[in-house]
Amino acid sequence: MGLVYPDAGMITIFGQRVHPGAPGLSRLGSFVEGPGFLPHLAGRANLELYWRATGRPEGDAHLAEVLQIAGLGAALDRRVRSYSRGMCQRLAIAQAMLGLPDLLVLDEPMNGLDPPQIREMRDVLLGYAEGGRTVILSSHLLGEVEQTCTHLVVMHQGRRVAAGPVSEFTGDGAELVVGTSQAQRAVTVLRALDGIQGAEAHPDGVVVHPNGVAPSAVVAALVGAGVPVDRVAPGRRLEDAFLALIAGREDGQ
Amino acid sequence: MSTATRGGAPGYSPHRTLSFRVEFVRQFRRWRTIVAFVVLLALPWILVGAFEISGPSSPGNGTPGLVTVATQGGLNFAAFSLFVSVGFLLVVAVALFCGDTVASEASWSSLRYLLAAPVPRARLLRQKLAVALAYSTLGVVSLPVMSLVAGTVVFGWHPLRLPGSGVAMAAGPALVRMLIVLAYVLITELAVAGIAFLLSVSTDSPLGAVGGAVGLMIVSAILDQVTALGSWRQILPSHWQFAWIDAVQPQISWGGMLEGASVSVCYAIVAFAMAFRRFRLKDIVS
Repeated sequence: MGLVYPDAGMITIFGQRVHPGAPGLSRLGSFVEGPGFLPHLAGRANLELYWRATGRPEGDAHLAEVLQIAGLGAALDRRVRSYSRGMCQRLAIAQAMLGLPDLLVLDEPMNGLDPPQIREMRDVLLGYAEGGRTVILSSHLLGEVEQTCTHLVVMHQGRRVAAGPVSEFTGDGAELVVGTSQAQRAVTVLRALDGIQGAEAHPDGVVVHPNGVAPSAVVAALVGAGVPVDRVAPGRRLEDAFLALIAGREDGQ
Repeated sequence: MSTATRGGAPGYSPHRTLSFRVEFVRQFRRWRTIVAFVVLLALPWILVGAFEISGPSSPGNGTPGLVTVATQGGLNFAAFSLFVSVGFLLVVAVALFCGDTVASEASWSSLRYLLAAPVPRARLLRQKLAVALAYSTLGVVSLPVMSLVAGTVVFGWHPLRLPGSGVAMAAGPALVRMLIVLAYVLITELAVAGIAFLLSVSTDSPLGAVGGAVGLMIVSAILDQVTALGSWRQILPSHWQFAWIDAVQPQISWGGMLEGASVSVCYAIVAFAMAFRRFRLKDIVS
């Protein structure tokens, strides 16, 4: 964002090199390292003055839409000084969205929000991206990342460890966990099934590597053999994948 | 003319970012600004009240000073209130406006969002400096103007009684002299403005920047008392702050004021240049 000079390398957005004051930054909305408002002004006044400071036409701000997203209601006309952390957070994300920029960079946007707000924010971000815009969010809440993002870059100690679609990390369909009261029978049935790579009994259920066999086929085989199936879930969570990646890095050193 | 700067969002132009008006409004509704102006505008009335309570000052013998002629009329009172506030109050006011401006944005973290808007760094600093100087000027001017009003209401509209000689000067030429005094005071405050602004760019603590600038002026005033320093004292930013007394003499002597103005402008230019350089190269992390 042109705030810190890099020791090495460079950043480009929209094919333009980023430096302090680079015009391309006007197409980027950001929320990094917490909100920054004038505490003596109301939330609405803060957003209005921020937009006026950009010098861009008033109509381009989409202020009403953005305020809707912030969902602060009557609090918008109270001084920011009196806001809670979550309110500041939402106002800051609203500020980042002013002008509906093509690229939105959000640093830990879910911090300080309560569960319903997290849910709402996720929907907002997904909706925002659906319009052909890009939202980049950095987070250590891996469950959140898994539910919100399509693509993922894993950073560890300042270096890029891996990058790709989220499904590649979680290995969609590569592992299934079947909850059943008759684990041993389930394992026997599944190992006999064509195409299945393996099945082992684990405390939380039977872990299956279907190797391309559809989950529905797995369930059908089990039910057909009279094994009760309580639940079926994707096996590998992003968290496991992440820890495995990091562990691999650290072993390698 | 294209409406968008190359690569920017439609309607974005660096020259339109953070306009003077927007920055003026951003600063206006702050307690800091309001309190500063309340103090500057209330002080003349407090002084008038003090003179009224203590009764007419005794004429005293020999040459009258600014204090003894303060109640001789609005013009005299305005000169007196400048005399008592130039050394400290106006320094604090100017340090407040110029020292707080960037440091407070840094402490609120709003600085990085302005820069990411993006307001180019040099432009941001220029606009902030312009607004800070505008507030400083308003502050410095408001005190003697209000003093003139308060003094005239209470003590009447009389010719200016010059300190020292006690010669009376007609209101017309006296007003011209007061304008010269005011212009000189504004120029000497540039040194304070420069130092405060440089500190403001260098720290994230508004209190540190304002206090640092006031502190440096206090040190300068103390050093100015050390006569052993000889001619070195002449380059202290506070050494010439009362040189405007020369403008309320029957014959103006310009020497002191010219020296004072040059010293002040030098301080200001160096400090502003350092501030711009520092801000251009700084990593904004707060």
